[in-house]
Amino acid sequence: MNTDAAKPLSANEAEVGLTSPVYTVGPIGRTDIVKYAGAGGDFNPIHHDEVWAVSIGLPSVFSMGLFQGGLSSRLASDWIGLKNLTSFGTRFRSQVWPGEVLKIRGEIIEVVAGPDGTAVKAAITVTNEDGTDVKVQALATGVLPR
Amino acid sequence: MEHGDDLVGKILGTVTFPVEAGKVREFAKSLHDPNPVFRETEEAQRAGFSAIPAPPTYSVVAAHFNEGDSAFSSLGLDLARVLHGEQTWTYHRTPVVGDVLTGQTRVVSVEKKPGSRGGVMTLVKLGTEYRDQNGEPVLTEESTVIETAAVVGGGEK
Repeated sequence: MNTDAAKPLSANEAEVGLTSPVYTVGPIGRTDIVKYAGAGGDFNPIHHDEVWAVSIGLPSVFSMGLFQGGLSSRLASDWIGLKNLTSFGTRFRSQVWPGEVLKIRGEIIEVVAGPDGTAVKAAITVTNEDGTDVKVQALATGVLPR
Repeated sequence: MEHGDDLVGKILGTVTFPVEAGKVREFAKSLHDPNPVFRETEEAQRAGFSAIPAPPTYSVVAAHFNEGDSAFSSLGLDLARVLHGEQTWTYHRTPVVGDVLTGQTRVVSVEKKPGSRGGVMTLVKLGTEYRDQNGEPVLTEESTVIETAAVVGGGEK
């Protein structure tokens, strides 16, 4: 099930401190991780070969940082606008394990009005369900049309 | 990983891949993104694109088109100790279905730091500039991988 898409942000309403709707994804299953491996092409066995993962001392496989990073890019493209995006950066902070539910939220941290539109910067975070474990810190920048 | 600064500037390979409708749909679906712009040409055109656009992190599919060794193994990194630290995309424009992107990946920097639990960790930053079929820049991707001193994720955060 998908959370409804965030309404596209307009230049008029963009202001520092504005927050996005919260997206919920999960619980993340091994099948979700394998689907992303097939889509993206990351076949590092640490993400799909549980036998090998356990043999090197891990509790199970865990997802790729780019999986949860990609999940957070949905908020960037819905909210800032795919066409408006000038950059999208992700920093992977901690692993996501099968069974976890993820929460994705954004906040506008910079707004600069210019002749070509309004430049905005949004901090996006992916956390576990209760918000105590930050999985990804992402930064989206874009220019909203006037 | 035994090497260090001598790797900076090293070219790890060049990849060319088409932006394809089926792959875009599969990629968006795998990221739980139901947006119809990634599925229907009419929706994409309504949103101002000439064709179905690629999601923001789509260029990672280049991994499917690398026939040689992965960047990890050609750098001599130990998979059991490798963590992906960061990845950043800077866009000149949104890639769309029909584009053919070519990117050359090079080592931007190599940094060694003391690990939090002893040993040495190595941070390697790779950069890839993608151009389209007309040689025009489309996006730049930068990725930082970390080879930790011990096996990743064994109870640490």
